[in-house]
Amino acid sequence: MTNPDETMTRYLLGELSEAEQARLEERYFTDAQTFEQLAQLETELIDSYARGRLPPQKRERFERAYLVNPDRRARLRFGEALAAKLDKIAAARVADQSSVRAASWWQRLSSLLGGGQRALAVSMALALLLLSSVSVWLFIRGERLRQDLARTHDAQTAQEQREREAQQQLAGERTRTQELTAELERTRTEPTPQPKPAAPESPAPTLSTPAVASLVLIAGGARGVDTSAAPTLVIPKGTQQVRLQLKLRENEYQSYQLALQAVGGTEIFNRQHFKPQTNRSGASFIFTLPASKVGAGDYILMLRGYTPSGELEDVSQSLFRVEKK
Amino acid sequence: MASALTSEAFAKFLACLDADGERAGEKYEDLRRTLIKFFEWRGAPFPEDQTDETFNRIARRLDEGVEIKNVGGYCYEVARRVCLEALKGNDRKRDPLETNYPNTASADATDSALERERRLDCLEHCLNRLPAESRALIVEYYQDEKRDRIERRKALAEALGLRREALANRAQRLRDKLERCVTRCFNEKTAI
Repeated sequence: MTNPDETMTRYLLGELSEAEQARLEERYFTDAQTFEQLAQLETELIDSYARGRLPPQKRERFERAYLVNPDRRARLRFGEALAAKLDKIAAARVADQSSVRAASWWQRLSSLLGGGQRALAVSMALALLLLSSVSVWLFIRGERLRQDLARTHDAQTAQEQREREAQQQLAGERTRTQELTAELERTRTEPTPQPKPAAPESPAPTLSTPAVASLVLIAGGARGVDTSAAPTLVIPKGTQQVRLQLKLRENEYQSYQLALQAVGGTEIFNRQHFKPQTNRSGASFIFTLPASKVGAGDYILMLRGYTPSGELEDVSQSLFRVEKK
Repeated sequence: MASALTSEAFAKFLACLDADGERAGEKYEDLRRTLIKFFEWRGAPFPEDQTDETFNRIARRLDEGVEIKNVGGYCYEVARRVCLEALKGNDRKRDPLETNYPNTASADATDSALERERRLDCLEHCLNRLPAESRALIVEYYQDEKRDRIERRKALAEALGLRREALANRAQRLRDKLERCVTRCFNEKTAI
């Protein structure tokens, strides 16, 4: 057996030799993805069993080896409950789709009533009434879930729009900086009509270098790493401060923890119980750092929210790149 | 079982996982989850107790000055020993993963109607406690449309801007969280 899924299934069903078992265990203790894969496979097995989808032989193996343990039996019961709940939701969706077809059934029923088969028609009317009530109830439940999903999708679209605006704003800022730099360069190279002062000149002011380099980020939508192309923060030589702004898609928590660290490196900023500034365009965190603390490379800005019980939940992780010029 | 972990020993253990306190905490939670599953899969009688015992032993070794380079591998070796002891202590004569068990599943695997109802109530309660986004993810990810499941999950991953593995991991963690909530709620209801 070389199929990793098959090896893992045999592990869960207690069919591996001691050596094979130890090899797999060693692997999942040191490789998180192997562990996740195994946990997911266990879930698939439970769900397939709960829905009566395991082939007879596998079903028998599952009952004999896996369900021997009370904790695992409890897990199966949870799987059954979840399957029942999800099936109910699916049925509500189907009912929703078929409610359109109900009208034609009613027409047929009316013709039955007209045809003198009253007893049959009354029974059917009652059955239809019952079916409609159940359908309406299921539809309402399904509708609530669909609204949840729609809200998530809307929020994502809005976020994409904000990201586009932020990118445009950033591009505009860059162009303006380049124009200013070019203008200053022109001023430096053009001969001045004024006579040179006798006293030695003080060093040229560093007007070409902005004192602050700034970057606007949007908190990733799905509580995960924002995998879109990483924005770049260019820090010109001589910049003193770096200003970062993280816009929030939704302000769901009372306070947050914000941490900035170099990818694979050290943390350079961490603030607990940080509250965002809010205005008409939404909520955002703004903070500045000495430019000397921010070297060139990739960075990750992690945002976590404090729950009412004081626990931290991941909200977003934003990647960006820093270039020093 | 050994005495509980002192805060000093626990701090030492966390430092061994990662120099950064917060990341060490996350690694600790991940390792704890792996250990509990390991003991469950091995059929040990009290997976959470055996997990604590494993951490205790590792912390003691650290206290004695042992340097641990591969925490995962070391943890596995200790856990394996703890598991064998627990199984022996439980007077089990065979490895729990051996297949010659009598079929005890069918007798005990079915809930009574009352239990089923309670569990469903708890599930409803716990689902409602999840943020709307997480609830929608659970519903979409574990829907039973087997034919288009792969395509649906792929589309879901794309919509959320995640790789499929990352989506699967997130769904699994959410499901684990939901299961813990349902178990706790169900135990409370049955204890009344």
